[in-house]
Parts: sequence; C-alpha cells; structure tokens
Amino acid sequence: MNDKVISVRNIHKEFKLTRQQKKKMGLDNDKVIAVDNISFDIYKGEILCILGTNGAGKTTTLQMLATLLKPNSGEIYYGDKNLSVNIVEIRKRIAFLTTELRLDDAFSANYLYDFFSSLYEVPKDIAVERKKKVFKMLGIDLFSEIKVGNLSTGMKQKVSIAISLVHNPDILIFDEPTNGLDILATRDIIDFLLKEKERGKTLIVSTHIFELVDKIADRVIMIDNGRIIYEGTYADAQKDGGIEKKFFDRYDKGRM
Amino acid sequence: MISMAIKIALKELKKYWGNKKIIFSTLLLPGLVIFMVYSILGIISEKQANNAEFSTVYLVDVPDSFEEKVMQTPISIQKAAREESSDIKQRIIDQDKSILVIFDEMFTEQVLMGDEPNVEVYYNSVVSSSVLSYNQVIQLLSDYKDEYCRSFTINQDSNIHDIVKNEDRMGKNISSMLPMLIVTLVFSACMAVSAESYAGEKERKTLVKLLATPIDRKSIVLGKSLSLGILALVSGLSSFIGAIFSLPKLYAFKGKNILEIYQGGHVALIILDIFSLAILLVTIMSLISARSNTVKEATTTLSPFGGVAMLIGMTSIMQSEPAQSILCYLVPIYNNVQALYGILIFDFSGRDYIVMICINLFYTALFGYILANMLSDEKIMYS
Repeated sequence: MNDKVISVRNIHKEFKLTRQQKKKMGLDNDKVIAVDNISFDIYKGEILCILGTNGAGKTTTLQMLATLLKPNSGEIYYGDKNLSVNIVEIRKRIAFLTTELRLDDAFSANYLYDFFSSLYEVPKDIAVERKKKVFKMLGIDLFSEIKVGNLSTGMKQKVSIAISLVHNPDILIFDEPTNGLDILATRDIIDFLLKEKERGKTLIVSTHIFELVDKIADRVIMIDNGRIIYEGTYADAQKDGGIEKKFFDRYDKGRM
Repeated sequence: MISMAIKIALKELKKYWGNKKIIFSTLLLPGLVIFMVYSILGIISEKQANNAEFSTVYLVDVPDSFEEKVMQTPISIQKAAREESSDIKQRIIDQDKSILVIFDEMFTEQVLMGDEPNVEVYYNSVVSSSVLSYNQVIQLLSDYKDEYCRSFTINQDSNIHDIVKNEDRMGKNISSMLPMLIVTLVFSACMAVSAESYAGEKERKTLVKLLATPIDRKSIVLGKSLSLGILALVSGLSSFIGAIFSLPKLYAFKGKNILEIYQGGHVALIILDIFSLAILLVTIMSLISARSNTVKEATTTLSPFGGVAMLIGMTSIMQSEPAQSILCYLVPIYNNVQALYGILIFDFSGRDYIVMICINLFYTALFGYILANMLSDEKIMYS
C-alpha cells in the first residue's frame, strides 16, 4: 500500500442544539453527535469514497479534514503534522469543495481565479499557465469572463473546482461533487476526478450515489449515524452482493 | 498581512463598485436626498418669512406718539373705541386675525407724573399671524418705553452692531446641525454595508471559501473593514457635500461661498474625522454582522443604535463650545462630534483632535482583533 497521507484518530464531533432545534427534532438531549469516535487512514494517490445517507456525518468528517471544523476530541495528522498545530501549512496543501460553498456572483471565473491565486501567493507566471490548463481541461475558457451569477449549476461547479486548484494541492476533498448536476456535467466531473488521480493527487470524495462509488473508488468507507460501518477496498466492498447490498445490510442492522 | 488585507479590500470594493444599484443608493442618493430635503425646507422657510401674515392691530386710547411710531412700520392698525373692546376680544377668541392693544385712558398724564400705567395686549397664541403681530407690538412697546424714559438709548443709530465675522456666523449655524447629520448619515451608510459584509456572506455561503484558504483571519478583517470604511466614508462625504450645498438655502446665506470659508486644511480634518468614525463604526457593526446568521438579523440588531448615534450627534445643537475635557475625547462617536464641531466653529484643539484619532484607531484595532478571533469560532461562522 502507498504512504499514508492522512491519519484520523478517534475524532469526535458533537453540536449543541438550541431549544427550538431540540423541539423540532424531538430530542431529549441538548446535543447531537455528528461524528462518533472514528478512525481511518488515507493513502497517497488513492480515491477514498465516503458513502452514507444524508445526516450520516460525511460532511462533518470532511469539514474537519478541511480544517473548517475542529473535532471535540481526537487527532488528525497530515503526514507527521498535527492539523491543530500546523493548520495554515496544511491549508496550503488541500482543496475543499462542496456544493454548499458558493462563489461571489458578482465576479467572473477569470477574476476569482486570479484573486484566489494571489491569496495562495502563487507566482504570477505559474498562475497564468495553470489557469490556462485548468480552464481548458474543465471547458471554462468558453465562459471565463461571464459573471458567476449568470452561469448554470454545472458551470459554477466547474469554476469552483478550478478555483480549488489554484495552488496545485496534493489532496482534494470533495463533498458530494455531483450534487445537482446533470448527466453531462456529472460525466465531466467524474473524468476530472480520475484525471487528477492519474496526476498523483489523493482524493477524498463523499457521496450517497452508489454509481459514483462504482466509477471512481479505490477504497470505500461507509458511515451511518456518525460511525464507520464498513471500511475496505472497492474490490472487497463489491463482494457478497455488491456495495449497495453491503451498505443496506449494515444500515438496517444498525436500526434493529 | 497588509498586502493580503489590501487584496481583500480591493475585491470587496470591486464588488460594490461593479453594482450600479449600490453605487447609486449608498453613494449618490444620500447626498441628493439631503440636498433636496434641506433645500426644500429652506425655500419653504424663506417663503413663510416673506409671506408672513400679520394681524390687524386694534388700538384703544393710543397716544399720538405711539401711533406715529407704529405708522412707521408695516403693521396694519385701526383705532377703536373702548366700548368695542369686548367685541374685538371675542373676535380674537374666534381666531379672527386681530390683536387688541388697550392703553390706560390717562396714559400720557400718568407717565408724566411718574406713575406706571398698564398697556394690555390681547392676542390668540394658536393663530400664527396673531403671534407674529403680538411679538412685533411687544417689541415696539418696549422700544417706545425706552424712548419715553429718555435716560439713554441702545443701538438707535444706523450702524451694524452685531460685528460677528461672516465665517463665525456661518460656522455657528452650520455646526449646530451638521455634526448630527453626518453622524446619522455615516451610521446609516455603515449599517447598510456592514450588515451585508459578514452576515450576507454567511447567508450566501461565500465566506467559507475565504476561510478555507491559508490567509490570516486578521487580514480578512482588516481588508473588509478597510473596504467598508472607504465606502462608508464616501457615502458620508456624499451626504456632507449635499448638506453643505443645501445649507445656503436653509439658512438663507448670502455673500461668501461656504467652500471659501472652509478651506483645504479644514476639509482634510473633516474628512479624517469622518473616516475615523466610519472605520470604527464598520468594525463594531461587522462584529454584530458576524454574530448574525442573516442580513435581516444583523440590521434588526443594529437599527436601534441609530437613535443613540443621532442623540450623540444632537449634542452639538445644545452647546456653545467644544468639550474641553480630554476625557470627552476618549468616548467614541462623541469625540468625533466634538472634534467636528470644533473644526466648524474654528475653535478646535490639535491635542484633542489627535486624541480622538488615536483612541478611535485603538478601539478599531481592539474590535478588529475580537472579530478576527470570531472568524475562527465555528459556532459563529457556521449556523
């Protein structure tokens, strides 16, 4: 197996509920556990798919990996660097993308790419070259001067991806990358993910779509109620009836 | 940190400058509205003064010398018999445009004997023409009394006795209203842009993209505060210019142009004063915006403080000189009002001005530091 790039050890995340939220959700506790002491590793150059239903804890896990949320307990290591101590350095190595994140509608892809390049302190000549390549690869050069607000969902997603890559990160964290996209845009995103893997990038992709897992995953983690219910290679996950069966067997078991 | 902050500030400014609606509503509209409102008020006020209606003054047993004096004025008079007094009083009660002046029957003789005869003046205080005429008649009677005594006269020659400098008079008039206007308008401008700055981005989920970069949180705060401060300053200046150009109409100034009175140095000090106010207000408001989940929540929280800002601005209406104690210049917003007041009446202290600038910068830095820490707090950044 390749080198470990990320080690996740017993990370736990809970959120305090307001009185309104408690009432709405019909809970007695004033907190909800989003991620419940999970541990896993991620290896260089692989595509790890995190599979689960809505509210399983996928996004929370990825946001912790992306330094946007802090675990209540547990540790995350990027190589030998503890995330809580080397947060700025780690942000330079990763890209985080989710359909929840929006770009400023008032700007064009061109402007936003240049802006984020400057924030990552990418030298200008490198930024120009990189922009040319990424825009061509994703087909953005056709609409790079149009304001983001006037683009379709698929185009916006492509622009988001391009901007996530300004600093040439070696780890890409994508939360539901094909959410809300049509079949053509979905195909483009899948092609992109596979190309990035060929370039030696490590990808962590969360999804609730089994077909996406089939197309891209090297390894699969299944999450339910904040806990890992399965972890293994894609090949192993395919055994005994397939990934979907494996997931639902464990999902249903958790509810008995 | 500074270069990152400037990049963010430029992006924020580009976002606003690119939006024609924001340019119009934040930068041009305040000045236009102020100019129109105060010009119209001034025109109405001037027309009222020119077309002021006066009541007919009924005089009973009026001495000849007083009658001569009244006839030298534009007051419309009519002599009446004592027996008509009741009827005239009834007409006054019925809001007829009349006033009644009754002299004692032996008025002249009593004065010559050294007695103090009484003069009765009847008017109706809810009828504006009656009030105007009453004031005129009282003034005339007062002058008549002085002339009659003949011990000495005051300002009876044709010289101008109010020897105030035109600049000082203008300064006194402007300084009573302008600080309040500026504080109120800068507050409104700051509120409009600050509420959107963090709460708006949280609502639209565009802030997270920025937070995921390696950029220092302090740079984000500094960049946003700078851009918002510049916008609020320009908006405040727009209002200031609108107010300045409307004041001649409001106060019927004639002669010297206001901009000839307040020259380069004064204008620079005023601009710096407004900027220090604007940047402090945007930083404080950004704190509230960052704590809010929506723009609506942020503006609802901020709105009541507009009244407080206006009240602080109104202190300039009631005072005759700027605050003397240095402690007053440690209180934000109030210190801006006092410094501005002092500049406008040409009576400001350099020491107090510098204290105002320094303390406002200190508060801005303090609140900015708190805001930067808030950006790392997921409870605040993620609803």
